[in-house]
Amino acid sequence: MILLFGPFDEVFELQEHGPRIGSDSATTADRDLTSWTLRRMVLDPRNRLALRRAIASSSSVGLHHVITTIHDLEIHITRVLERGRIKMLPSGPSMALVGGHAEQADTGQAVDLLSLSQECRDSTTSDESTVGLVPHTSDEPAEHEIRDLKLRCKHEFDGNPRTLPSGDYIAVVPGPAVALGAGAVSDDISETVTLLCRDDRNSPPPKVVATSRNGSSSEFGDMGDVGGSYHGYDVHVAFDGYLGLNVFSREFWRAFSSRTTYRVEGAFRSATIDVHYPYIWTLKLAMPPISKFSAGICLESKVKRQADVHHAELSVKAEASGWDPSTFTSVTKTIEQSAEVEVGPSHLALEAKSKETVEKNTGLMALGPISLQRSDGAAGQFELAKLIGDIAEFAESIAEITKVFKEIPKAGWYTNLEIQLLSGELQVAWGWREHTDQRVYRWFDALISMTLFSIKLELGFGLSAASFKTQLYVNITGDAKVEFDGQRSGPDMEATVAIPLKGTIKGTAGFRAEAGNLAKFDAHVETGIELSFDVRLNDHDRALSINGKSGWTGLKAVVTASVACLGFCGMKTWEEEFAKPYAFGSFAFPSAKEYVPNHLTRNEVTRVVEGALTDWFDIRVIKPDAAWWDVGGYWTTKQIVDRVVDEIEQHETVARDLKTIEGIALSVREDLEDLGGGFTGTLIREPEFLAYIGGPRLRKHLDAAPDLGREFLCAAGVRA
Amino acid sequence: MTVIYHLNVRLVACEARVFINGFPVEHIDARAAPRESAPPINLCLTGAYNRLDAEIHFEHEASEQVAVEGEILRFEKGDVVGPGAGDPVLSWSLPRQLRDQPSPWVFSEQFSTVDAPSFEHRLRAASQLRDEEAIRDYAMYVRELIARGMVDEFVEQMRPKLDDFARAFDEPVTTFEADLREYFRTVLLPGASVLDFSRSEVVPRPYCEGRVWELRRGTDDALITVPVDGGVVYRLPLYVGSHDGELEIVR
Repeated sequence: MILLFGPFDEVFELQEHGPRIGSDSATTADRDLTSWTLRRMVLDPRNRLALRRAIASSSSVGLHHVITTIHDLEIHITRVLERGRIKMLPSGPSMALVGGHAEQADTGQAVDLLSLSQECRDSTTSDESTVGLVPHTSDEPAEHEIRDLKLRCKHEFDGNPRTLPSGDYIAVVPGPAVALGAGAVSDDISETVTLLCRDDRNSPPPKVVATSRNGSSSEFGDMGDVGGSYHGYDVHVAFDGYLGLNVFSREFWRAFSSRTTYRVEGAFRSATIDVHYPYIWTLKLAMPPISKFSAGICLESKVKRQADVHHAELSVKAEASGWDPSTFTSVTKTIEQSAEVEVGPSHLALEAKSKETVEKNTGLMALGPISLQRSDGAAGQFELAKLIGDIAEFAESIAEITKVFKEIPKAGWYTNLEIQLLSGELQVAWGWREHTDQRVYRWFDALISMTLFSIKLELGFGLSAASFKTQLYVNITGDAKVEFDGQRSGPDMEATVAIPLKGTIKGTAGFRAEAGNLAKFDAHVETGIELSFDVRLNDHDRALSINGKSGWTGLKAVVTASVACLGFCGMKTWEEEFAKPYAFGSFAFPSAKEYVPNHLTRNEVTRVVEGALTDWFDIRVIKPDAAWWDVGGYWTTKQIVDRVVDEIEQHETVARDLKTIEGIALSVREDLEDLGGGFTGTLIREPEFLAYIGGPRLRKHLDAAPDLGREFLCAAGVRA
Repeated sequence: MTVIYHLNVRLVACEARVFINGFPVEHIDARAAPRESAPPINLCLTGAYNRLDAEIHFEHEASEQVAVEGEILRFEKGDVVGPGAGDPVLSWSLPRQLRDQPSPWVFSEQFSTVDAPSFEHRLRAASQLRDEEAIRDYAMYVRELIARGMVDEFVEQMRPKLDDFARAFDEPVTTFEADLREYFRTVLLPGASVLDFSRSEVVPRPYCEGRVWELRRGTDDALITVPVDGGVVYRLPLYVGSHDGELEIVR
């Protein structure tokens, strides 16, 4: 039994107790009181003496180490308290310090002793500088036999080597003496842990043997007295896991989460060294812009004024509890500052300057959408097409919004779509770092100012129930943005950061109609794009993940429209579900699959084009010099259709899904009617038809309807 | 070149009635959510001088959110009315001085439409009607024409409206007449409920200082309201005026 005296001479009993409890379960209560009590207790010479005697006699409290300084004493007592129990004897209120917690027995309050232990260490820094690590301060009783083991790694904190006094365990991260930050380069992944041993009972061992988990052993000889009667042994250790360049592989993350353990024997007591993954990785992400997508025919209006377009913005500025500010430099801020100092630049000059600054500061533009660098300068290896395949598929799925139309109504449909995915600034860095004590932790640094999703969508479709030409249109414009700035710089900070972002980008809906008519909603119509994103940083098996999904809420409304010519017979009202809710799909970054675009066969494309060109009156092409009554003077329908299909087939980026091809076919029909003459207005002269086929009008339709997934991959540098 | 004018109205947190030269052209309830509408107004224009009157009703608690604005837009025949389209001849909004006043807010604007037909004779110069009972009798007479399937007589009662539409939109009167006959045959005749009202339910409502009266069924609906299959409801508003001393349907 060891008795310790409290600040008011209360008597505590120190006992060995059960297993240590992890810091995650610790809670906080009357911390100040307990901290103050402990500090007073470790300063009491009677307590120091009692502890030393207990250690010398190998008592049951679990103190096996020689205490040589005030610092040592405090570290030891707090460690014992972490796993031990102090029980107050009958005088005064009952207090018990249990497991990883201190609990006041009568109130149930608890104190986080791990933090307290840290506090004790912090509070004794100044003491350490005066007392030093040299044994025997003047106020302490002399000890005749000292047996001590210290571990010191090559890394420094505040210019001092990281030394674990009187310990038998240390975790290390190989690398240069000063911890690397994001983007820093060094190819040093060596690690040497110096074992400092003093054994007054026996002569120092001539060598120690370090055995790694896989059974390989190395011997390290005595370097002689390195001060204070301590003998030193430089133990070279290394991380033996995967050191390849594919950070998106399971193999990498298995290795990243593992450690190489060495057992060092030969001294009076064995020691354990855990070696963690040595490199720091830096990832920069900036997805390329995606082309506009247009399909179908808008009921054109002569726009005279800028119409009000509601811009909706969903945003989240996330914070991680206790994290420090990121060490990354914001590209956006740099650009803003650059723009500020520019005196009267033209718009183009400013744009050029901004681009240049972006490239200079981050290399984002120059290196493509993903830049991945290891701290030794090596570039990460990944299959870009797979990594962003999901995003490409997601982009294309949004263009498939035309699928919501039940049929192509009389007045046609159209879609104008601009989307951006993961545009802006995202920089993360991760790796292992050593803490000031024996622990290491997953260091993580992130600066994110990213538009996860941006959409400018206008779509319209004909109102078949109206007696005049009208199109219902939907305008949805908005962004979903996320911001984060933080650095995890200690083991006790929240490890994983989850940034959820959910909401609806609400749009507006209305009608375009021939002047003189009226079509309107009888009540306000709500429609929009529903979004759900989840950004995770420093998750257990990846540094960064972004998951997203979205869908359209659909459109159901009560409509009132003019009846008869120019509304002569009043109005009619009805309820209609114009489009059901539609899920665009989801994506994950990083993904594991390549994008496979939709692809109608030539026969299928032919069927759609033929359907459009033979709807109502057939489109006909008359040969030069042929008379209208000359039966053999016309192209066959097959010949006409084949020429159009040839152009579609030869185009590199046009989307080949059903709705896009239907939209193009509809546009072609409209163009040919425009060129046509004759009684039906559908008769076209051969030279005009051929000029159209090879001309800019048709090309414009094809260019305007790209497969967004394919476009996205091309822009990102993936060959289609 | 035929010109077509539209009123454009955008409202938030209020209910508005808008009149052009005293004739009702729009009634929108935007108390629950923002609304927008753009009805054509050619049939109620009076040339060089036109007056727009707006009556805005709102809940006192929502007065801060109330927003009222719009335009009178000019289009050419065949143009498409849509966002940003049309030449504004008048942009109007809520006068600032009304903000502190209780509901309703009433204000007026003026504009000119010299390139469109004027219906001053109908809306300003026609004789005023005073006899509500005579208007009710007329409503029952129209009901009788429909009940008996007397399409020719019904069309004749609509003659002033047919002529005015033809003038207003530069279309042959036969186009409208054909549409009306078709409507009579396909909507009014099969729709039994069109006749489902009694004399006491007819509510005449005066506009243009009593020169034009709307025939309503009760206070809430058009006199001729025909629900058909599929949830579709047809409404034929009837506005009565004096034409050569006789009551006739003028709008």
